[in-house]
Amino acid sequence: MSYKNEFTGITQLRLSPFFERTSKLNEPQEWKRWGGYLAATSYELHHDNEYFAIRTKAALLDISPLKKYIIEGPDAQKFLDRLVTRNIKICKVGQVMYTPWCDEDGKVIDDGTVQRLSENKFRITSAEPNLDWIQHNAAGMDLTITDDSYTTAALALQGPNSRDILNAVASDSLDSLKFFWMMDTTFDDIPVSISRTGYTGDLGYEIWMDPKDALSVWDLLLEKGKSFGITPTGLNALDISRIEAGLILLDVDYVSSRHAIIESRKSSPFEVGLGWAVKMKKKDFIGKKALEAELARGPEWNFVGIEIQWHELEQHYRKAGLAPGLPCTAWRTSTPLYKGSEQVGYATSGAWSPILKRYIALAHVKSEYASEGSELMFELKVEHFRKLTPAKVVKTPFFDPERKRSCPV
Amino acid sequence: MNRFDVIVIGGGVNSLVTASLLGKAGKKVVVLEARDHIGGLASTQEFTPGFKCNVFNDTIKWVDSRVQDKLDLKSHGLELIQPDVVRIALDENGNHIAFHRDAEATANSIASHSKKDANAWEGFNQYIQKLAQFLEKLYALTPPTLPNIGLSEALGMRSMLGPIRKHGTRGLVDLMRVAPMMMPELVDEWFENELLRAAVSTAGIHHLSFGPFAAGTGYNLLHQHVHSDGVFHNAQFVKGGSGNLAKALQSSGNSAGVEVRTGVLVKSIDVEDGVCNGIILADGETIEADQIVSGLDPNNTFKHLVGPTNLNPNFNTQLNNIRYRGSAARIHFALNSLPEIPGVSQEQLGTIFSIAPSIEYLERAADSVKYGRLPEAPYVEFTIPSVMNSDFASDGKHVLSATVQNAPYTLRNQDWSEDLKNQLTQNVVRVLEQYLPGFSSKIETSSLLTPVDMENQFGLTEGNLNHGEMTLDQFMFMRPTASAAQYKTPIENLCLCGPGTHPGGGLHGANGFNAAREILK
Repeated sequence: MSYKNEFTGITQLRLSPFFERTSKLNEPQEWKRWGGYLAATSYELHHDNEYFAIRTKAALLDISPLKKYIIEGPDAQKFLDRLVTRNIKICKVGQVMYTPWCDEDGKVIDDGTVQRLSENKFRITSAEPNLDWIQHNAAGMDLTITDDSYTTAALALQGPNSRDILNAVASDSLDSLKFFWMMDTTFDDIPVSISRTGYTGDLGYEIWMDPKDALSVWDLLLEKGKSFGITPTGLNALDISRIEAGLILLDVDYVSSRHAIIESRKSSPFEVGLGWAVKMKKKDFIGKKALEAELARGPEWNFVGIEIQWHELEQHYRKAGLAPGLPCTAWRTSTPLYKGSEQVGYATSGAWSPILKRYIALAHVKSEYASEGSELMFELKVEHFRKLTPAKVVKTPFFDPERKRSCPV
Repeated sequence: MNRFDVIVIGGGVNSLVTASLLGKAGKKVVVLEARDHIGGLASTQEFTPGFKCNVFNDTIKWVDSRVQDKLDLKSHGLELIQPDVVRIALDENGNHIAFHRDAEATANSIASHSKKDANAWEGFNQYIQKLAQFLEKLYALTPPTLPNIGLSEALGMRSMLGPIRKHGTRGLVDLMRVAPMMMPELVDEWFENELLRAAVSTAGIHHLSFGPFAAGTGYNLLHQHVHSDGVFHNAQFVKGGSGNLAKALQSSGNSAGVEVRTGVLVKSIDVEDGVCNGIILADGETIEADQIVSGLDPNNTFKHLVGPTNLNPNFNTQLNNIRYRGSAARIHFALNSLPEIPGVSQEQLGTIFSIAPSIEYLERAADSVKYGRLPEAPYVEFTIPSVMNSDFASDGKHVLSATVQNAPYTLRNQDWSEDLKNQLTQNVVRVLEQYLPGFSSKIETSSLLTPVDMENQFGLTEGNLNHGEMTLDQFMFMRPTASAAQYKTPIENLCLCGPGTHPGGGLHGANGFNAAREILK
């Protein structure tokens, strides 16, 4: 028996149902791995235009690699209510809830959205495969679990013009669809579900469809969206906008408790800024006891937004005889934060925000130094040398346009 | 009023021990047994009109002296008979090896096979007793909570210092060496005669799904010799049948005000937010209590009565990982007359007989469990309980009860059927016929309990008599699981007292005693 790797159809990266189109549009032919798929990092040589499409026009992203599971049966609500930290009992049909879920020590495993498709049918999305965890906790429950990852394709249409495009394509108006709600409609007789959700913090939608309709939907959107500036968009632009929106990313801003090899790498929802999504009044859910105890003693870490102060940053570069060096893509290298000589935190992802003209980052900071306005020192490398430059704790989302939640009527 | 201090689910030995001890401590206790009789694995009942049997166990290795004393079982009618010959390993040519209470007498019996082995016998016997002494101390303890061993856990283990002082670290090292061993390696160090080697090895595989070549059978052999009075293969009979142990326990409980209800099936344990407050019966009746104690196995207690949705994910994983794998069947034969065993006198019939000509025979028999097929030539251990209990059969008729060690719970590509049960019975009869000529002609009828029958009729998961296999990975602080090894469970107010807990299977009642101690803490 040889131990040479042999690649089979399953070990190869998957191609999304939109690959036929996206592969031809991808100018740099740069792809990232995302959930076992090839995913475009940008369609143009630089992602600038795509980023501005998200903030000023409409960006079209292939999000099919998301993991999706259908939970269906009389116990589906009870099951999800026990699995996640949000209160699923109050989730109405057609509503969507963003939520983390924890292990029994109250440490976050993953985060995603729960869509209530009907009274007894839900779809849960996640960054990583969660089938085993879902099945394990469904023991003794009257429900079926279906891996919907490959049976539903998905697109995100994000940006101020996204509603206009959908209104031009869909047989129903989206004007009254509220933030974190969803509806069924058709595009030229093709049935689709549209949820008003996204990962950009802007007005935006996610469109769920049968993979066999994927290419038709793509073509329709591009055709009808042309005059609205629809722009196929890759992950580089998305990454900047999700930081502006203060949204966390698994394996970047936190490590799933499932594959943290040491305890200190795990985070509770309180430690990744998701305390608002933990409903302690709920009867019982996985991790509740541990989270109760954590609340009683106060979480050790906070997750905050920081802004690296421009004036001092510029001075550091000036001393070196350079123009201010700014990251042109979002970075995800853990970067130390100090208070005096003590390291009190670390930033996990950051970016220059082109729309805000601010250098921002998301950071884990010890609770006592995490209040708004708290001044910390951010480690910066200028021409091979480490410097400390001031950074201030600020409110997230950094960018939060009113259009994200508002309806025209 | 439907409210008690304590509800004990199950009416087996450990349940009755815990119930009686708690009753004696002033608690208002009720015992709920689903069957019509109490006793569980210590049941004596009619298996066919006119013939009684000990359903599972004809003999008892030991009854915890703490239980005997505290519950005063003697005055409640328990009488243990200690035969001089505790076991006879049958030889096809009639040159049997008899294991006596007296080691010298055993050595004499061995001498006709091997002088060398006869000389080694007393040393071996002492060696095993020495190692069992470590377990004896351990078995009286509540296992420490791992992985947080602190001062209190260490102090709790101080009784272990006794045997360490007595036998030195050498003794401890020997224990750590023998427990994970397999039988052939152990007997290689002591004996040459194959019949003796096999007869010793049978202790290592008692009620286990493995054969003697499995690692860790050394531990099971030691488990069989805890409190064995210095007697290898020690066996005691309960006068009137094993069921009288349960009766004595019940009588002791009754005197302490314990209420025993039979024919009462518990449908679920009522748990809310990790706390249990009572139980719901199959007929819908609810009973409340401050404390629920389950003598059922972990699978029945948690998966069936508590329900996985009330348990946290880690604990569910631990429960899924408990190995049960019952592999012992019981056959009771109603005989028209006393069977004859060449080379065994009438007076010697009141003992246990084993049929295992070689270690390889035992291993091959165990293969059938491994591969999920009917054993052609199983390892058979039998007694003739009617010799000691004249009321088991009348008019010169007799009962022969056999434990068939190698009947798999799960058969490959098929399920247990009447046809397969008949085939297994015939295989057993064929084995017995070789040692008991004319045996088949004496059979009036027979009754076979496969592991599946045991599961269905006695609520034993996969028919495992020990509520979980007696192996090193399911030992002490890992029994039944790491999160429930101190008799308490992750569910508040719910405790365990059955053989699924430390120190494991047998009719000794130590589990029940330890559990009661923890509950009263």
